[in-house]
Amino acid sequence: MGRLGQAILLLDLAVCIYGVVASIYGARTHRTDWVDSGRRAVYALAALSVIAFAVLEVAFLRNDFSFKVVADTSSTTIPTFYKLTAPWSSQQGSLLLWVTLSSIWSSLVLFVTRRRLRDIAPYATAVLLGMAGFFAALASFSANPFDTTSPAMTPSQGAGLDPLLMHPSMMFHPPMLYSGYTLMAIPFAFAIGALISGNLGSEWIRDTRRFALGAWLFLGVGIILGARWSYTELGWGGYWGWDAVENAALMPWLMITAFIHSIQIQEKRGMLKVWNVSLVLTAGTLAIFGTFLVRSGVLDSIHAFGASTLGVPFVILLGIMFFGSIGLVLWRRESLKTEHRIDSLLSREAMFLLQNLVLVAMVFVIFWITLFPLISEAITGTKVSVGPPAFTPFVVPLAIVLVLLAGIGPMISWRRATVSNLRKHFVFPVSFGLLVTLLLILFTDADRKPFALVMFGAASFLIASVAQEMYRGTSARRAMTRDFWPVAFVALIRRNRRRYGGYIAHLGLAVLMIGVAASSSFQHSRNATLRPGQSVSVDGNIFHYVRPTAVVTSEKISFGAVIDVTKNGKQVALLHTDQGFYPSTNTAQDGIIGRFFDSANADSTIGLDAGPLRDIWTVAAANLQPLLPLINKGNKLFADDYNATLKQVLKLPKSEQSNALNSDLTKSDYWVYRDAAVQDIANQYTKHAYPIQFLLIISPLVSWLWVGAIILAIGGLIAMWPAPLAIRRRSLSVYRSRVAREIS
Amino acid sequence: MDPNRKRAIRLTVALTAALLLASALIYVSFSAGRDELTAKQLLNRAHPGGQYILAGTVVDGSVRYEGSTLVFSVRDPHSPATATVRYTGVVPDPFAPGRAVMVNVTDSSGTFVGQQNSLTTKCPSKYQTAAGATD
Repeated sequence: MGRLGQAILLLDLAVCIYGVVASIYGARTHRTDWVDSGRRAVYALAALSVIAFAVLEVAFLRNDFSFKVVADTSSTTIPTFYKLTAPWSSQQGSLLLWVTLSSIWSSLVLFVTRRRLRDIAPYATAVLLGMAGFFAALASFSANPFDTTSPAMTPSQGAGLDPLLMHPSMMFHPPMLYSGYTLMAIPFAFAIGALISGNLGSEWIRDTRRFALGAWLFLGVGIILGARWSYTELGWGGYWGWDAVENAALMPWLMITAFIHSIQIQEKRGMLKVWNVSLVLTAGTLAIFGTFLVRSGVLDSIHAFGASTLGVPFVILLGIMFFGSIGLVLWRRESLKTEHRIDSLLSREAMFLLQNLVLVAMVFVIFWITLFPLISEAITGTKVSVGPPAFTPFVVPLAIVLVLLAGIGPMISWRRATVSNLRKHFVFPVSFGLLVTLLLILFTDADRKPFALVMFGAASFLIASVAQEMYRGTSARRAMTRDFWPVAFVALIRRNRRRYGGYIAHLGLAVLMIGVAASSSFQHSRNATLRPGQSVSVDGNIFHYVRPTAVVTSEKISFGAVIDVTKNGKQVALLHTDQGFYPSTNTAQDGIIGRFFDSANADSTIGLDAGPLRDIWTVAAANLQPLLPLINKGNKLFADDYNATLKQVLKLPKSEQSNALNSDLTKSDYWVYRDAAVQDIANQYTKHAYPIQFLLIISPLVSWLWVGAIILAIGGLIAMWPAPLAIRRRSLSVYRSRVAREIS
Repeated sequence: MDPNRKRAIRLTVALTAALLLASALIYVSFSAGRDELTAKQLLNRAHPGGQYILAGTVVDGSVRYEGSTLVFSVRDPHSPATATVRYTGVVPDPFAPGRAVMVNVTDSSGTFVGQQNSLTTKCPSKYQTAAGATD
């Protein structure tokens, strides 16, 4: 199986090389047979990569520990669900996943455009295959997922998957991120193709728009799943830490967000060609830069991507992408010029451009602060970290402007807004935003956090503007069809999915931003060390530590706490939080009993009471210190017994020793006594009132963040979804006539 | 107004705004930043009351609790130097001997006191072999 996988990987690489050569040769000589062959190389790559990935999955499912990657990241005891996800927890497996997803998305776009973009597609094919080939080469020569050990060296058990990764979000988070990154390569590749071929109209943008939206959607969903995982699994109570790896995903997402907005200006008015090409090239480069940050270990991050040998190849690839992009844009700068100019700053195109500038400014800020330790080290010789507080003074005001622009942009007229246009569209949303702000000042303490207050006002303005547009659109539809409101509303969205999908996404953004502003500005948290029966107050809520718990299963030992939360004498939640200890495989270091209480293999299950207005979040750090004497005693007793048995067994011929040892230990009920000892030690935890350290948090409106993200994703999905054929034909004819006008 | 002049003014305003943003960013980065030090650098440079970010690997066998205070030593990757930290607050799940950590510390008369809830631990799960893996 391992050899099959290795052979497929090499075949992948060969197919990539062939495809690059065939596509470029076909494009230069105008030989369609070579171009078609290059495209078919992408299909072949997809088929081969899927087979290779299936081979790896089968190895995980069969617990085939002759595969090094299976031995390192899986074991017989982890649930099947997580065995399926384990491949992408390793460097090797994740590289293969990258190649697989990249080839699938590339096949899809090349199939869709097989009869169009004939001058651009071959170059795009070469770029896509070149990038896939890069990852296939890494997987083949630097981090091969099919490396195997000899049968004699194959372990009987694997090291297991890190408990932190055994979370439902982790099943989907990496594939979503990788899908986003790999989809980002598609508009990048077509932009390169357009620049090389000189066909710089809007056609390539129209054909790859859905893939750009797909990249935006998948990357966004991946980011949110990561945030959810952080909130519910990492035990620190936050969902975003401005960690280098989080930022690595956020930067291309912001850039592609700018792109999917600004392409509308190119499509509608033929403007911003240089800007759009630059945005998409930067987004593609940032996607690879993010991957480089994740895998090279150049920056300290709470995610560990230990130093690896992959840094240099990534730097070379980034250099080619960066300087190649600049070179191509400079080469085609004359063709990218537009005759149209922005007529007025009070116009939709000006607002879109301003929104783009805000997004790019955000990317610049995040890029600078994230890389500042490296920059400062290069200048001063010392790494200087600025940390999360440095982001706030820049990103928060920019985010407020962004939310305001999301409301203004869709309502303001193209070319030049008139006073009557402004009055017609802005009176209600502005009044609503101001009213909400006023009410918050009068009836809450929101004014003690001015940025949050302004964000609430801006988000209310955005919600009102979306509601107004939806209402007007539905009313107009009803006037024509006399449908019921819900029918007219659905029909309205169906007929103009791109526009109304965008509005729904804006609505999601508003809800998400309210959640972020409230939960980050008005959170109350407290660290407390409590014994059973003791209580502590957080923001008027009384947290009462009722009793400790200990549960022993074959998978892990969980030590937890039951917490009763009351407010004004009434119970608001009864929470249970625990810390699960998974047995380590290092018996020599941890001991026969101690391996079941290894804090290096622990994960927390938070106690969470989530509501529409607030989350009550708790986590407890199990205090095993009082159990240490018992654990050490157990280690010694069982080691003595084990060694005594071993001594007898060593007298036997070498070939019989292993089986004899297991048999003797089983016969003497050694394992039964060991399990009983572990159970007894765990029970001690509940019999004594040991003090436990808690982190207790009351966070307002966290649920709004998750709900906002879901609405945002639904909006993106609607905008992506192809319109009914009849409408598509009509828009296509409108589009063609516009292109014809532009050309003439 | 002449459209070219109008465009020139817009460009000047945009460039000025970008310049101001960049200047503020550079100023904040250098003024609000803290030195991220290895154990050896910390031992050499620390002075009482100074605040630093200590980065390194938790030394095997150095982790213990004194009441609710976590005491552990951090090793310099390039030298045998170690710095001992006394920390109270949230201990991330991945924290363990042999793993890379970052913690904000204050030099309190020769003792490095970790700032509450500032301890971050690199997740060992991705792209490297699980710690302590044996056959």
